[in-house]
Amino acid sequence: MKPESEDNLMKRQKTPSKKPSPTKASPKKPQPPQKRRWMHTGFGVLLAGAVLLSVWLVVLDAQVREAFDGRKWALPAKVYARPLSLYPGLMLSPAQLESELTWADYRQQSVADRAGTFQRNGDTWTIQRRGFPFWDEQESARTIQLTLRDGYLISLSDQQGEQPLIRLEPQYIGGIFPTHNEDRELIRLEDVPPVLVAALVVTEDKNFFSHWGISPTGIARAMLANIRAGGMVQGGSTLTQQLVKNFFLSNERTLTRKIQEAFMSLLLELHYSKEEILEAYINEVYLGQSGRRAIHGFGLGARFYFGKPLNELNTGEIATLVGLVKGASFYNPRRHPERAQKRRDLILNVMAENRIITPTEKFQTTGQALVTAEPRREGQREYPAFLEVAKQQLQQDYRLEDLQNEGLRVFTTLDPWVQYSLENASVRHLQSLEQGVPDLANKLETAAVITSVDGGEIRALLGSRHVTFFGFNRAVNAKRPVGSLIKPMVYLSALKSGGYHWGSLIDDAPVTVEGPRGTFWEPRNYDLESHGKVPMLDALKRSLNQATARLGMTVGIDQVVSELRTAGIRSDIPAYPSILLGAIELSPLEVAQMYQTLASTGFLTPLRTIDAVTTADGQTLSSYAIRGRQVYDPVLMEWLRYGLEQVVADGTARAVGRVLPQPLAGKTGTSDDIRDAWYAGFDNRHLGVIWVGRDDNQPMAYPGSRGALPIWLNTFRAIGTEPLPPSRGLIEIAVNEQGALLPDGCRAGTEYPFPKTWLDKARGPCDADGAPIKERIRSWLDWLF
Amino acid sequence: MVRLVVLSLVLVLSGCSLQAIRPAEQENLASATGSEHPAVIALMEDASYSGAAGDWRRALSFLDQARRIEPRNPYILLRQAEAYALLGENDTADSLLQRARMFAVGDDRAIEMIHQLEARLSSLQPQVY
Repeated sequence: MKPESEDNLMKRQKTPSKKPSPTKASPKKPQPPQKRRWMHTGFGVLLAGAVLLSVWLVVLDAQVREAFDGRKWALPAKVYARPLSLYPGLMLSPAQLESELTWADYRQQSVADRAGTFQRNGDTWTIQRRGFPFWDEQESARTIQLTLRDGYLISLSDQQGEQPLIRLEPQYIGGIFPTHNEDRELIRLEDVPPVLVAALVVTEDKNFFSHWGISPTGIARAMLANIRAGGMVQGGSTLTQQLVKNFFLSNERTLTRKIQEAFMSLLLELHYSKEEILEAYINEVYLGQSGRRAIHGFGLGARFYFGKPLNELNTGEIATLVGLVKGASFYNPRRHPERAQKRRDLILNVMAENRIITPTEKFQTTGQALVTAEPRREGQREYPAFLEVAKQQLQQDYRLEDLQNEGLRVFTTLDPWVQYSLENASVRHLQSLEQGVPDLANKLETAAVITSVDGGEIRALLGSRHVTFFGFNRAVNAKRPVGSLIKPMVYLSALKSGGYHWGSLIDDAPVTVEGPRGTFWEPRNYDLESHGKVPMLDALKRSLNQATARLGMTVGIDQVVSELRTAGIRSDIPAYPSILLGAIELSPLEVAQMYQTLASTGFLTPLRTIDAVTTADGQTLSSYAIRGRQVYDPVLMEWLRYGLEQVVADGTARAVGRVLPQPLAGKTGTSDDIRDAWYAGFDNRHLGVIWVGRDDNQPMAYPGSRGALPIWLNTFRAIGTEPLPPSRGLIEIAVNEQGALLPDGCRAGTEYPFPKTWLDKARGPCDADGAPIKERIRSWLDWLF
Repeated sequence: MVRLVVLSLVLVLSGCSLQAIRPAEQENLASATGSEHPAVIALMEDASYSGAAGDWRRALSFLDQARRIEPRNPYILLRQAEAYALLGENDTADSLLQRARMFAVGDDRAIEMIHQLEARLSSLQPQVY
């Protein structure tokens, strides 16, 4: 068809239209043509409308069924800390046990009479442990009795008698949320207290069990109330309509949306039972906000506001939660306790009127103060830095969509007590460093990693002094010069070469190395002095830069780089002389990986955060094993460890040695101009790496021993230390002042540890005063006789 | 049809070889805990029951709990290695055996069992895959 030309259009507009001539009604045609046309048109419109409505209803019906038949909600993965395993012999202080119970939302009572409570009588504790679906089995509720004495658990029993091991359920530490950040704890209708269901129905929709999704009487009542008030004061929505609005529609208040809501409600009621609708409502309803996390459903609402599972709520708490439905923000019991209390009392009144509770119960509960759980308590807070690493590791095996939507349960290696101790020590120490230095106020930052020595499990991770802040994670992403933390790798290269031992003399004298384009590298010591020839052990203990640089240049920069690679460093390492003193930028996590290899007797163990992953219904999908391979001879590691033990006993980290039982191993680190303070150290159980510095990379005047070490010290003091075991592969050999090995029995010289292979090495003669004992005995005998 | 017969034969043969290799040392391994710790002994017993029932994943969970209590117990590491080998995860099994070897220094029984397991693993591996 050709388009009409512009001229024709103009002509048509100019041509006056013919007026219809008046005609008489013909008997053959009882209806005038105009009326008939109107009727036809009207019929056509109605028909078209009916067809459109039908199509629309079919589309709505499909929407309703599709959303309701399948998985209704995107369920974020729930992430848990490690469970606390209780067994006789466990190092466990009363403070830790009480904290861990509180963080897992247990309440202390004079008599622990139901799940989720505990009591303490002196050293004896009774814990009513809740049932919990661990990754390996579902454990039912148990009554536990235990005794703590001198920092150890000494007896453990339950209803069946003495037990070798019982686990407490792990603390929730966060979720992996979809973009809308909705969180919920799905709950089945049969697990919801009947009182809550009844209170919800009588408060929100008394005719719920008799209407078909919409309630004309309810709408009329609401309209009347709104007209009287001259504004929107009451909604006539049924529970079904509220569910439809929350589940399928937006919050806009338009007639179209209201009509759509009504139709969808009817369709929902047509296809699904009242129980199914009620269960969906109980899990869908919005009950508040916790930071980025939207709290949905009564299951999570109970946990969030009262620190309890839904089935542990009392009548007043149930009434408070039901009251929140009308306006979660307006009736927030934490922000507006008086308002929430009034609302609760109103609900209690309605409950009593409808005989859901007795008048006595109402009387006892009404007027009581509202008690809510601490919103920032450990059991509800998140651990952003740790979660970020866990998420990265999970994404090696799982798609992000599955982590965000499938309700997976992730069991991690985080030890809440170690994390708490680290956070506490870090925050306090930074405050004390900044005190009295106005330029430093709130400028210092920190990051830290604590792992288990043998398993490489990350027990605590700190990405900032703002411990709950989802922001820049310095433990992973802040790459800073490591300073003297690198030195053990230089000394390791020397020991491994076979040409050096701890008594070997190294010259701590000025070093000059020519660099590119006529530059020179001339390292200086921290005290700006040179100390002449010193035993290698002293050079490490005192962290002497010139001696270490000279040693590194002698054993070879490439060799040191190679050892860094072997120990687990994956970042680029330029083979410049300055790397010998730590001019290499690494994150605290990378440093932890390197020291992990040294602490675990030469096993390169990838650091990990995940123990196991299960589906929402408890089926184990993955469990992660300890991995790694031996990259160093254990005897060489013990030999190096001796040097690090002396750093703590008598070197730059002696502040640790003065306080904690030894031997412990450690090394301080400070970058140029004191921009970064580091400390890395380990006992028999844990390795800790601490960094302190400024985000703007300015100097801060605190070297590793003052900036970072105290955080390590206070953390380890809180979690308890276990001294390192004696070495199994080393023997003592005396060394003279020139670093030469002396024969056995020689009284002169200083004894240093050596691998047994050194027994075969040639030894020099004994010095005049220190002749070998045999010879000396002979001379005494000569003198006597 | 021919494929089915071949496949069945392969399955029967691999089943026979696993059966043939397992009994003697497994008995040894299952009874050796290298520990006097009640929790470790209980966990290793649980692991034995699970292993005997063929539930090696569950056995590993018990063994890993035991490892956390005594991370340097070579017998726990040995049994973890065995379980991973039976599950076909040979790299993990090798890594655990390496650890067991390191902590078994001075324990003749543990060293002997490591050698036995190493010998078994070399014959187990082809059948697991």
